[in-house]
Amino acid sequence: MTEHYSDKELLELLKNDDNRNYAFNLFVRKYQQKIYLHIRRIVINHDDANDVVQNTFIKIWKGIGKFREESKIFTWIYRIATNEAISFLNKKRCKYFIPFINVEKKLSESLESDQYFKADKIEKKFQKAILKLPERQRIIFNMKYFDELKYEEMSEILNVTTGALKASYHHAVTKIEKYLKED
Amino acid sequence: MQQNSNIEDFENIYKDMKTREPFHVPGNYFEKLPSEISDKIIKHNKKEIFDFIYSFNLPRILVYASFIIVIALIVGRNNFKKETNVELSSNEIAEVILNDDALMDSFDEETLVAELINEGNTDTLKNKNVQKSSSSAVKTEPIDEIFVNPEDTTITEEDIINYLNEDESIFINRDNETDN
Repeated sequence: MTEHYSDKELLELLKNDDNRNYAFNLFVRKYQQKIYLHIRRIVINHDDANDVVQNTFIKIWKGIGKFREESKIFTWIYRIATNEAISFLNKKRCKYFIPFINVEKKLSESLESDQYFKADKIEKKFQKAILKLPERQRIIFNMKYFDELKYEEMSEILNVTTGALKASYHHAVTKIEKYLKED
Repeated sequence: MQQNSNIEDFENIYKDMKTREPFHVPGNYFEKLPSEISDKIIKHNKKEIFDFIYSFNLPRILVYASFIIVIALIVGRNNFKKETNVELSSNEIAEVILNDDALMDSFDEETLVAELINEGNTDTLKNKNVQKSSSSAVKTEPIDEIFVNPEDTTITEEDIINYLNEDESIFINRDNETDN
């Protein structure tokens, strides 16, 4: 049902006060899975991802009236989701006094304990290899590899040049390969 | 050869992992998520309204409170000043009373009577308002032998006492009037 509406049509509906709630419901249904998975790959734990997803959509609801359509709505909501996930991890670091280096260790532990993470040996190893990457590189890798975004879209979302993104992605793949070959 | 097979393995893994999704969600999660989000938005809006009202009123409350405190301080200070003034005026009154008492003490009844009888010489009475005079400066004579007018009307001591009593009664009546 939601696939019938294009982003433009949804935005038109959202601008009309009478249809705003209905349109936003359609909007959430259209993007919830993509946004959830993008956030989940950053924060790993389902409960954390759920909180961040809800906060992301609240921010979208608050800001959608000011959206100027200079960029695609998809890249706009991806940017909000990415920033929310990163700030969530930063808050977690501050809350539990976790040093920056130990974050991936904590996330790996979270991966093991999460009841909604179901993977075989090689999948687990692959995910742990991704978690070894620095935070920004990990996000770039996820966006390119899993979400299959174009470098131009990623550049718009992350405010990084396409050249830097390409280099970062290449380094990430090399590191993952190295990690998988080591064991 | 061994290295080539590893790379090949990695390429296969790399291709394969893309299609797998190890991250799962509880059943009906995506069915419930839109309603959970709309509930949270409603709560958030209510909180925002409360925060807005609170943030809007808090500075006002602070301004009003500080204004009331300043007014209370000013009023309290003025009251204190008034009390001081009252104290000062009562001191002044006390001083005046003491001066009056001192003045009254300085009157010599005999001199006063002598001057009342002798209308021509009232210097002592006149001067009493500004300076003390010695009672010895006035010549005293026996009251029952003094003649005050040429018609030889004799003023007895009893007359003088009656006269003074009349005067006092006038003052007493005046006091009663002012009290009323």
